[in-house]
Amino acid sequence: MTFAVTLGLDTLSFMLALLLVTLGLVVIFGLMNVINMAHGEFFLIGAYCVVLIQKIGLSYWWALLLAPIVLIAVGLIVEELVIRHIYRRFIDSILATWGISLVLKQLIVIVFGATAQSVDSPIPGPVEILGVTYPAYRLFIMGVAIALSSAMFLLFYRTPIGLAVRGVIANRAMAASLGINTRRLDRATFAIGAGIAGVAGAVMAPIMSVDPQMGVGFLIPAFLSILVGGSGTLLGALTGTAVISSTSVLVSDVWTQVVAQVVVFTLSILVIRFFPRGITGRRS
Amino acid sequence: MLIVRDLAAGYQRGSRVLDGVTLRIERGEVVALMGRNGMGKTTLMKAIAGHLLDATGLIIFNGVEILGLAPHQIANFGVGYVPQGRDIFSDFTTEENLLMGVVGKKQLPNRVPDWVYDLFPVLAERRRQFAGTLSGGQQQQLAIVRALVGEPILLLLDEPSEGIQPSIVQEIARTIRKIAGQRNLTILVVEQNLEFVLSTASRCLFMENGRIAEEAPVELLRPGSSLVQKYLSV
Repeated sequence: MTFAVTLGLDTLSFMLALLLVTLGLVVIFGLMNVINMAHGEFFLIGAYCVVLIQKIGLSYWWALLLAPIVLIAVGLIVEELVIRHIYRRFIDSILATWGISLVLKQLIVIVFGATAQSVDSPIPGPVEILGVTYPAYRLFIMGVAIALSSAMFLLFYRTPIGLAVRGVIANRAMAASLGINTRRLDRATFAIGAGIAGVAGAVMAPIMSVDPQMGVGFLIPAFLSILVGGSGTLLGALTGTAVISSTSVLVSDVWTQVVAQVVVFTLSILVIRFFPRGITGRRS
Repeated sequence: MLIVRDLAAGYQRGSRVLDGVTLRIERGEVVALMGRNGMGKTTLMKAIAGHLLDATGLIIFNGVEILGLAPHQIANFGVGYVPQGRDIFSDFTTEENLLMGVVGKKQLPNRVPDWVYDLFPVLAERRRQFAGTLSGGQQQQLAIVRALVGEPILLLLDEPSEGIQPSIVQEIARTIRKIAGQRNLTILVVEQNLEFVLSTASRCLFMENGRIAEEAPVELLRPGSSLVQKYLSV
């Protein structure tokens, strides 16, 4: 019984952590259709905000404030300098954002060094839940993931701004002719996606080894989640992360991590082959 | 109200789709733009709405030079545009489509005004339904009302009767006449349907090879008349 509860919590924890990392990508890749190879570095900068805050000697919680502010600024700059020139140019966007990714990663190395930094957990120790002891901070991550996804859902599906953003994505020319400043919305949407990636990085930092390579580990499953679940909707991302994370946790628990990777990739290939628009995507 | 002078634009090198369009529309007028396919009617509408990047010449709307401005700026000056094929947001509900008409306008509150559902009970019934599931005629009404809630001064309608059954075409024509009268709206409508033009417009411009070739009051536009023969029959 306790084994099942722990496995369930592990799956849920990994799924929600993956969802947290995927959320920013849902906005930038899922909604805006920009393949952003630098998304892992946005996540990375968020994590280094925690390192910076810790070095200054402030409490961890300040990092949760600093990370989105820094990443929104980074997002605005990157959008203005590079991204706005490559909307709807897929190959160019992969190359250009890969370049941004290299630059950001090297900047981090220059400022903080190439070695891994450790970050103290702000909520150390385990708690009792459903008859098992479980790390308290993992529960906090789950809470943040749920809160942030809900906030995003409300922003994009229940506010006029969200409606305008979705309208611009659905039909840019028509939205413009209805008076919507599409340029300004592109900028804001990209910055929001970057900001969410920053929060994810800051929240994940205490349970990961914070080093310049940490962004990559989550980037691939995050992209896979969106492709498997279906891009353009939050529901798709939710389904995708559920499929990827549960497969990955269950298989690696029974066999090994390597087998889990193989299964996840095979499954993704099959899903994308038979549901090109993802599990939740409508077939056209 | 709307002055277009020597407007030229072309998609391809060598052949200009618009080749010196000059026209003038007064406030409150309903003007039809007719002509065969490929004469440049839709391109002219796009140019006025700000969707052509390479257009040259002069477009003055309400005393403001609008050629070269972005589509959202032109919309905010009071030009409402209902494009050919309607371009409704099919994955949005009827209500969300209507909201799209106001969210870009700073001076308007972010809600669908009450008169909409009084005037168009069909849209009220289907406010929670996805717009893609509406019939062609309902989608056309939705596209027109979506433009109207933005409170335009000039409405550009591109082929409102296209692909719609005849009884609905008459209904749409009636609605347009009513709205134009109530709100002193100026309308420029591209239309192939002669009956539609006869029941809505007061003046007709004929377009040929990228220019306004001739204009006439609609009274002269009976089926089989020389103007119809010259500019419309295939």
